Amino acid sequence: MLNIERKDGYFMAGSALAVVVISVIAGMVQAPVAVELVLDILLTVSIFGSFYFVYKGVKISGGEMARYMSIIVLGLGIYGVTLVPHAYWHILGRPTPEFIPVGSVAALAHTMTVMAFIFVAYGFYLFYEGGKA
Amino acid sequence: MFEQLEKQDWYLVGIAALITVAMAVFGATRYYTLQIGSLVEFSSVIPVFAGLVFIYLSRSIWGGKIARYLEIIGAGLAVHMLLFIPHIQWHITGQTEGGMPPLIGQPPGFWYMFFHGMSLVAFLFIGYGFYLFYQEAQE
Repeated sequence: MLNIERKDGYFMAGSALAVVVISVIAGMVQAPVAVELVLDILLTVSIFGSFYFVYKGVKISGGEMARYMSIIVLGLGIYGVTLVPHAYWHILGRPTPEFIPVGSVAALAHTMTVMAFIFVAYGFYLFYEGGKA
Repeated sequence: MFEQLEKQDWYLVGIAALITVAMAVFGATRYYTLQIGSLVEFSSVIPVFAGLVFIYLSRSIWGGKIARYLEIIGAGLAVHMLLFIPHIQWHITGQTEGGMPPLIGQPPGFWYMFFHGMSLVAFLFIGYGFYLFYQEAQE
């Protein structure tokens, strides 16, 4: 059974439902592609939120759990910092200075996405290991 | 906050940075095609799935409030994971065909809002989970 509380469920189901409703409206009014940029910037802000809470929490509690959390938000932070530049570089048709190979920028950005989530997975792996001991 | 990291963690960070630089060098060659690029990007859902497995296993070990916070973070990661490939693939199709195509009968306007709104919501869940952890630390 899940340990989430009723209010957590309401918050999560409610916000997902709200997105669907707003999306239907956005489809009807033919929302422009610019909404993506606004939402992605908000996403980056929300990742900074995670980062901030872990930063504050780590200062208070310290210890092993602080280590797991720091690694997890390191991964999330990489994703948060790279997401907007990476996505809009693609959308703008990959503008790249002449002396830098386009493929290198692409490979760098894509690999960073993978590495970001490897840190997230590693953090949760340590969480699991730490709980066993 | 990163003073909590141990030596082995920094090694992993270093290895990740080295692999990233090596991939950037590989990217300069003609072998790094668009297909390989999207495969690399898509493969980021594999560690997300691994993270979910460890969250699932940690829940029963830690139990209680910690399990609750982990479930909320896990819900966010799950939403991100499920939508990531369809979302990016849709963008790639739009880029190569010179315009975003409708999907399942819905116009692009719907999907701009849906995909990006859902990713935002996913990371809000994650932020909420970390906020609850922070509150717990304060007590």
